Order: sequence, then C-alpha cells, then structure tokens
Amino acid sequence: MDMENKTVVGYNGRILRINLNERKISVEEPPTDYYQRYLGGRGFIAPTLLQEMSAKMDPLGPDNKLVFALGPLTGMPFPGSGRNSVGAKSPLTFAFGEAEAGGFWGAELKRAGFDAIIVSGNSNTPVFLWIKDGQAELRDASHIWGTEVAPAHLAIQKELGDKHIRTAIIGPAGEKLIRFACILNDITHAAGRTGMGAVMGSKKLKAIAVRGRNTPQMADQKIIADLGRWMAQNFKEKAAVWKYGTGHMMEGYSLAGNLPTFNFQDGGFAAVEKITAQAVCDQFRVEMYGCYACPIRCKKRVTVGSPYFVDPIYGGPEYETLASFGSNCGISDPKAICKAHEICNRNGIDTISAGATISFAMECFEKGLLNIKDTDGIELRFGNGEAMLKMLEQIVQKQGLGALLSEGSRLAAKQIGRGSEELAINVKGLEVPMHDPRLKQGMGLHYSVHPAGADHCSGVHDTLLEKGPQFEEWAAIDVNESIPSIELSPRKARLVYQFGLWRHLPNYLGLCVLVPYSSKQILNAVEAVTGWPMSYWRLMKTVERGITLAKIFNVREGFTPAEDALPRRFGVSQRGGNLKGVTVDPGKLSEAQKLYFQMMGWDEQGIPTRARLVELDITWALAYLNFPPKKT
Amino acid sequence: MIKNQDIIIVMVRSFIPSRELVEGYELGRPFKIELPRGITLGELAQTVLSKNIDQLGIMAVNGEGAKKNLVLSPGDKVDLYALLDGG
Repeated sequence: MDMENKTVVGYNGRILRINLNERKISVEEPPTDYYQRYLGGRGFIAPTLLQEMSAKMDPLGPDNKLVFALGPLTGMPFPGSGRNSVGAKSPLTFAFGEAEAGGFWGAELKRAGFDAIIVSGNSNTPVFLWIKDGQAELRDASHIWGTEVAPAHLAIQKELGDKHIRTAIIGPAGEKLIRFACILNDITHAAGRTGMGAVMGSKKLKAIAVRGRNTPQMADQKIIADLGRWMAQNFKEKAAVWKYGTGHMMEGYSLAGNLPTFNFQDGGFAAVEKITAQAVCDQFRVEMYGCYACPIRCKKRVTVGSPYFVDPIYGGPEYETLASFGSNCGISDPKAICKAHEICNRNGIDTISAGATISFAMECFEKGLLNIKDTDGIELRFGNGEAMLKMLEQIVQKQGLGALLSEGSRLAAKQIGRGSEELAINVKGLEVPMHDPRLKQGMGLHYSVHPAGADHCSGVHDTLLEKGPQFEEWAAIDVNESIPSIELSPRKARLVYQFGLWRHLPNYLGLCVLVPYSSKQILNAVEAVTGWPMSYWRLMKTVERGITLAKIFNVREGFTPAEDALPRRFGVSQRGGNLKGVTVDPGKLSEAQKLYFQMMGWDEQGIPTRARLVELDITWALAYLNFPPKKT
Repeated sequence: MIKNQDIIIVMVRSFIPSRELVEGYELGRPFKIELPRGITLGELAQTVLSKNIDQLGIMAVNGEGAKKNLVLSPGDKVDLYALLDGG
C-alpha cells in the first residue's frame, strides 16, 4: 500500500476526527490509496466502523462511531452533487446503519476542507461542532438543547453571525434517543434511515455547522462544466420530478399495486388522487426548491392554515412520506399528511419508519391487539388523520403508547406480542419503504440482503427494467435483459447483483440518484473530477468492497441468514387490485438469496469468503471474520 | 377532408415529458386532444410521446389499466405513466 500522502484531486485529503470524551480534535491525511480504494460515502463508513469498533457495542454508547462521509463528486459544480452519507451502528437494527441526504451541507463541508468527519465518544454536556475553512472547534450547545430543528439551526447562524452557514442537526427526537431519529441538513434534507439522529443525540452533539470558501479542485473542469450545462438544458425532458417533486405518479403506483396501503395489506388506495404530489402542490405549495448546484429543484415547500398550521420552513412531503402517512395509514387528508411531515422534521424523525410504525399500530388496534386504554383514548384506526397525528405527537414526546412505538415496529411488536410480530413490516428492524416487493421482487431481494435492512435508495426498481429505454447504455454494465417485475428467479438475482452494484454507486460518489445521468456520464464525471483512469468494472468493484465490509460488520454482530427474511406479509396476496394473487414465493426468495450470496462471494451463511476478500484486495478484513475458524 | 364524425375528443394526462410540442400538453395535467375515430391507445401514446415513447410504463383509460390495442372512445380519460421508479 502506498502510504505516502499525496494531494488527491477532487478531495481535500483530510478527515476530521472528533473525540467527544476528551474534547479532542485532530486531522488525518489518508494516503491516495485510501481514496482510490473506497471512494466515499458507505465506502468510507464501512471500513471505519469495522476497524474502529468491536462487536456488540451499545449503539447509543460512547464506543459507537458516527461517520459523516462525502464522495468525490460532492460539492462539484454540477447538478446532483449535493449528497453526503452518515453511518454508525444502528440503534434501530443493531446492524450496519447508514443514511444519506442532499441539500447544501455536504458541498459546504467539501468547501470547508474535509472529506469526512469521524465522531467518537460521548460528550457530558451538549455541544455543537463548528467547522470553518479547515478549522474546527466544539462549542457549547446547552442553550439550544431541547430546541426544535429550525430554531436551533437559526440560532446557530445568528450566534456565528453568518446566514450562509449550513448545519447537519438533530431535533428533540434525537436528544430523546428515539430509535428512528434522523439528522437534517439545513432543516429539511433528511438523512432519515436507521436512527443516525439517535446516535448523534447519544453523543450530545446537537449539530455540525459548516462554512467553507475553498473552491474544490478537479482534474478537468471543462468536462464538469459541460455536464452541468447539458443537464440544465435537458432535465425537464428527462426528470419529471422537477414539476411536483417525487410522488407525482402515485395514481400509477396505485394502479400497478405498488402503493402500500393499510400497512401493506393492499397495493392500491381508492382515494389516491387526494394525496398525490400534484394535489399537495395545487393546494399547499409555497415554492419548489432544490439542492446544491441542481436546477431540477424537486423539493416542495408547503403551508397549511387550518385545522393544522404547517410551517413552510420545514419543507414538504415527498413520495415516501405521502405514502407512509397517507395510503399506508389509510389517510386521504393531505393536510394531515403535511402536518405529519412537519412534525417529523420539526422533531427530527424518519418519516418512513414513523409512518410505518403507526400503520403497524393501527392494524394492531383494528385487530384487537391494542385497545383504547393502550392508546389513551385515541381511536387509532386506518383513515383517522387526527388519531395518526396524536400518536405521532406521543411518539416524539415518548409518552403513552408513543414511548413504545418510538422503539420502532420490531421492538414494539416484541412487547405487544400475540402475533403482532406478523404485522411489523420491517427487515432487520428497519421499516420497509413504500415500494411493494410483490410488484418489485428484485427490490424485495435487495431489502432482504442489504446490510442496513430495508433500504430503497440503492435498490433495483424492477419496473424500470421490464423494458429498457436505457438498455443500450446499461449494456456497458452488462444489464440488457428485459425481466418482468414480478419475476423472482436466478436471472433476477443476477440483476440485483449486477445492476445493484451500479445502483449503490451514487452513494459512494456523493451523487443524487434522481438526477438522470447516463452511466457513461457518471464514469466521465468521476474521471474528470479525480483524474484517475476509471472503468465500470473498477467502480463496481469499489461498491462490492463496501458492501462486503458492511456485511462483515453484521457477521461480527452475529447476524445470520435468518435475519435476511422478508416480512411474511409479502408471502400473502394483496386483497385486490392489479396484483391480486401475486406473492413473494419463500422458496424462490431463498434460492435467489443463496445465488446473490454466491455472486457476492459469500458462503451459505452469508460470510464473505477468503477468496473474495483477496480478490477485492481487503484481506485485512479477514481478521474480523476470525478466518480460518479457530479450533477449540 | 376529415368530417366531424370522424374525430373524437379524449382527455389525456401524461407523466412523461413530450419531446415534441403537443398543443395543450402540460406534464401531469389533463388536456384535450382531437384524434381520428378508431385510434388505439398505443397510437395515441405514440402521437403524444413521440420519441419519448420508450419511457412509457403503464397506461390507464378511465382509471383502469389498459392495453395498447384498445380502441378509444369519445370522452375517454387516458393516463400515460412513465416506468415506475423510486421516490
């Protein structure tokens, strides 16, 4: 390994370390080889968590590491480059945890001179981290501890005297260690999944405020500028989300059976037209806004006057939120959904897990597993928007039944018992996002094998591959076969492996998946930024390295293939609609999982083989697999 | 010469960008379009979407899923959805 430190183009060559136990701040300058080998995002997070933590550590204790990671493309002056990733051991799943977000914070961190931040230890008193132009300091946050997200963000800007400061911040939910608390970039861009906000709260780290004025360096500025111009000229034809944001096709989702409804009992919602992105925009939109350097502006900001005031400072609901609090709770009142979204961002919790946990509780209530005493008088039935909002308030306050639900659906079901586990729709404890595995069977396979649990950001949307406008360009990554969405087969397993590596890649690069670049353009962008000779093979091998290291993290935690199960609900048909009669066949899923393991170079227990670690040039990770097995 | 009885009017809502200008077209909004009687759903999609036809996923007529060989009737409400992706 080349241990000589070199300046790496496209990066800063510097990683910031914060030890909160000792209030110590230091800077590391990894060798070029580190950047080439891991790229960024989950690629940085996985080896850090594996090497710097031991098994079975308390995810809310001082030994958990919280890693904020950029990619080479983060902060570069072209659309889609506003992404960053956050990882730690998850307090929700107790597995490898990770979430990603857009906005401006990641780009600002790049401009401030760092590629990642690794936070260890727990502070005794609330603090926030202030990073400016390569310098960092910890500051007292006692005065904003307990404060909601927007006022805390604004208070930091005021205290530091700069309204251009960007923050990654937690709300009261993170402080209360709610297991699905999130981290918000600039109030509205959520790193939502796996409870990273609770980890940040356990460390008493309220926020990371950033300001930077350094222009990121790149090897070929013209290529990046040309790419930016091309997207600016073409996005309206290629990215329909510019008009209403995500959720603009919910009626199509409902028709196809892909709109989770009544806690995934159905895939279509009769009142869907009332909760689409268009319906929300028509009635409540204040403006569309976007992320760093992106003209698509797919985020909507909403306000509602009555019966609930919805503060526009907290943005507006996107698809996952519209479905999780809407159809999946049987709710057709868009005002209630907008309010639920605002409550989540105000307090800092994941809208997917929050909505899915409430829909779980609604089904428990309707089936007599919870009663009116359990809910403190709330008629927690599907379709009752008032009840949904009251229960959401109970969750963020950790009061009554809400205290139990704030643990997430899996842990709540364990307490409730009596078969409620069957109604908790999660994988490894992470609530399933709003894409039904009965329609998207490859997505279901991805949910089951992904180290972080039921993630949709890196999953394969099977419906895109039923016929292929992009097959010509995907041929470069050897994906050129039309496969029915509802098929689960060896060739679908290959698709989840092969195309899945490509779907993971944007996370490693700091690139948004909603910006419609071709694979060739992505490849060119990486080369233009870093100056490294790059290939599809090399990029995909880097992703495989990251997934494998995250898998080893889980193996060390004691995870086995038993934890890769999908909820049994998906083995049962939706009750009507387009997909009636279609299920996820457990035998086919099991076979597909085994094939996926083999393609990844993992054995039947999901343990990466020595050969694959050698092939990926990460033999150092053998030490964490205890390989070869000790003879006792 | 096309006589009035040879023309039907349908309402179309497309969630796919129209590459070439179609009068009244707005992404995700219904608009009226005059078409020759006997036109099929597939032919309508081709007319509206032109080269972007390859982005077409599912289609619906009057809220129900429909196939491309369906012959359209006056007053039909047609929805053209893109291939379903994420969000």
